[in-house]
Amino acid sequence: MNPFSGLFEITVIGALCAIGCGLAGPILLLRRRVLLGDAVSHSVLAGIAIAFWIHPVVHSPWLRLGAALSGCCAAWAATRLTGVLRGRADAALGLVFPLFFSLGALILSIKASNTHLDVDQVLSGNLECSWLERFRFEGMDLGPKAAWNMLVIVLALLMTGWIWWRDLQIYLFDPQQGLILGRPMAFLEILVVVATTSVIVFSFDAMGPILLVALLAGPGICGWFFTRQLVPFLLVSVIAGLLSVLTGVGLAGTMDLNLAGSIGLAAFALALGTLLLAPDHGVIFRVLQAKRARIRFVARLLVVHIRQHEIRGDHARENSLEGLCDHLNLSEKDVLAGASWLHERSLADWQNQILASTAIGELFAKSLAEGQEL
Amino acid sequence: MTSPDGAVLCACIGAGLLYGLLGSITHLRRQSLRGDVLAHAAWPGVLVAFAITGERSPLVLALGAFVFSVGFGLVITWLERLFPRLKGDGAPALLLSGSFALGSVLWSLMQRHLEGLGQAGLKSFLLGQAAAVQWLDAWTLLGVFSAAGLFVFFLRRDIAGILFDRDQAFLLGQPVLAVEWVLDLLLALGVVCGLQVVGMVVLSALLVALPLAAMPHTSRFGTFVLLSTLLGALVGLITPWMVILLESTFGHPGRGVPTGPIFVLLATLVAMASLFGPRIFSGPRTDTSGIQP
Repeated sequence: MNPFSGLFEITVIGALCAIGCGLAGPILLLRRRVLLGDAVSHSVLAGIAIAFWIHPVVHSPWLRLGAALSGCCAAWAATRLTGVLRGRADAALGLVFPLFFSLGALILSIKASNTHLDVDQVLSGNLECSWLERFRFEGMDLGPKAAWNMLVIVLALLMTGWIWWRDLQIYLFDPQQGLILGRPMAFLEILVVVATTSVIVFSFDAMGPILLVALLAGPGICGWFFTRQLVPFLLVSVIAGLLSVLTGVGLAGTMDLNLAGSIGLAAFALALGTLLLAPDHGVIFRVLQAKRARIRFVARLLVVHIRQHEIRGDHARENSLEGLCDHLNLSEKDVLAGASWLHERSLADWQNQILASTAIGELFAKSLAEGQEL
Repeated sequence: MTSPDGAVLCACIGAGLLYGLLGSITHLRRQSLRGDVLAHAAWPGVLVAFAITGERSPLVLALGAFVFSVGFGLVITWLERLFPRLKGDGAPALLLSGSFALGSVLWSLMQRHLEGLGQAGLKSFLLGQAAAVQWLDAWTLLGVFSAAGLFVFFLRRDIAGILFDRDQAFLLGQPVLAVEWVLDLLLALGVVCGLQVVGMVVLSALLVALPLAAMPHTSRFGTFVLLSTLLGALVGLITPWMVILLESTFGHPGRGVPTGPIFVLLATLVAMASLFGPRIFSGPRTDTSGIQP
């Protein structure tokens, strides 16, 4: 077999998972429930244990069905409990997922402790081995099963989103408004829970809980900070997910690192970069904005101040650089920056080392002093 | 019926007391999942500590875990303050996945470069080993509890003020940032100490379940914290007896009933009974927003 086919198929599986998570992540972020990914992936243990108890075979589809069912149960229970706890989604998740996990661990330790169903193995899903399980049809090898699973999930997700697009938007941004309008918000809630949980369960199966949370949160945050509408939000999130999978696979390939870890780190780095660079909310943007606001403030202060001295007639002495620094308790740098702000708008000018206001500057200062914006 | 091992009993009660106390405060700070995130953040800390010192002693590993937990906790607080839309779940989820991904990458690097790296010492540090609890573990938990308890007791006015109206506390000149900082440190300390004894899942379950169990019964801050702590001790007291009872019913020789899941199930049961059952004390039905300083 071609040695590159494994890596290629792993990349395809990762990319499909990234698309699924890229679609589910924004929904969970908007509903403030991203940690559902972590919670559901712990909760599947209960379903696996019960399925194993009933039908003790390690590789059976019943285990997967049990996992999906108990994941859905946990997500639904957490959603209901959030209502009881008046919107404390964090507390609801924190109560539900250890319960399911412990139930699973208890059943396994009592009923199945001498079999090879290792809790650690169940919970740490392995992307490197995900392509080994093949999908065969009449003897033909049609590629890895995980890829087909994810493809079906992604298509179902897109279909669901397309059918209920309007209601989905209302549900995500203003569910109360939806209730007033008579839209089926309770149904949408169930739909969203089932859709996100199925993405979580199936991609968790392929790549483990940590990578799952990374691909839900990281790309979702990228989309959230770069866009203002739902469609671009989903698009950017999917693209960021694909980008982190490709970077991660490349990184793991060149430096021989853990695949899930390097994809997770790539997603993490992408999200941190977004928080740094994003327009409107990003750190760099906000620092620049604060600087601009400060200069604008200093300039307004300056123009009123120099106009005051010009009216009094002592501007030759007071409106020098030192005088202004001294009187307004500002640094030289600030005064110069403020003066150049005024100069750019031809409100004031340096004349013989003295800051003098122009005709427009006089009007500007007057209106500022009277509390009017110009 | 045999009685439980003394060390296990004390460790369970210590864990109940500690996480009841810390949980009541994290609950009111709306950081219920912070414990889980800090526990995940300990993993790269353990690995870095091992890589630097090459030692496997619990103290060194715990120090590394503590430093990383505190660091990641600070980053979460900072991100939440800077980006309000990430509050509560975005920032914790990001840091949880980031820290664990860092841990996995470090692990794969270390497996290649360090000789004789057995999985035993490091992994069990995270998952907890309730069967092998020693007196030292029990005393550690009780010690951290008494430190946290003294801090909360002596600064109860400041803490209540900060938890219920942060801006007002600033205006009154209370040491808001210092107190919050110490509370973060105590949570990280509690998480790191419990990690080796009870494990990640039990610890995050107790941090959430015990305050939820206390919440519906009171609308006073002091009573809430006290009730949560005492319920923790009660659950910790019952757990080892329950384990023995179950073992005598279901157990076979050489196949014990694990302590951790029983602890979680009991605590969740108490929380559910409080949330959905009748009130113990008379008075109006209260919720989180009903608790007053």
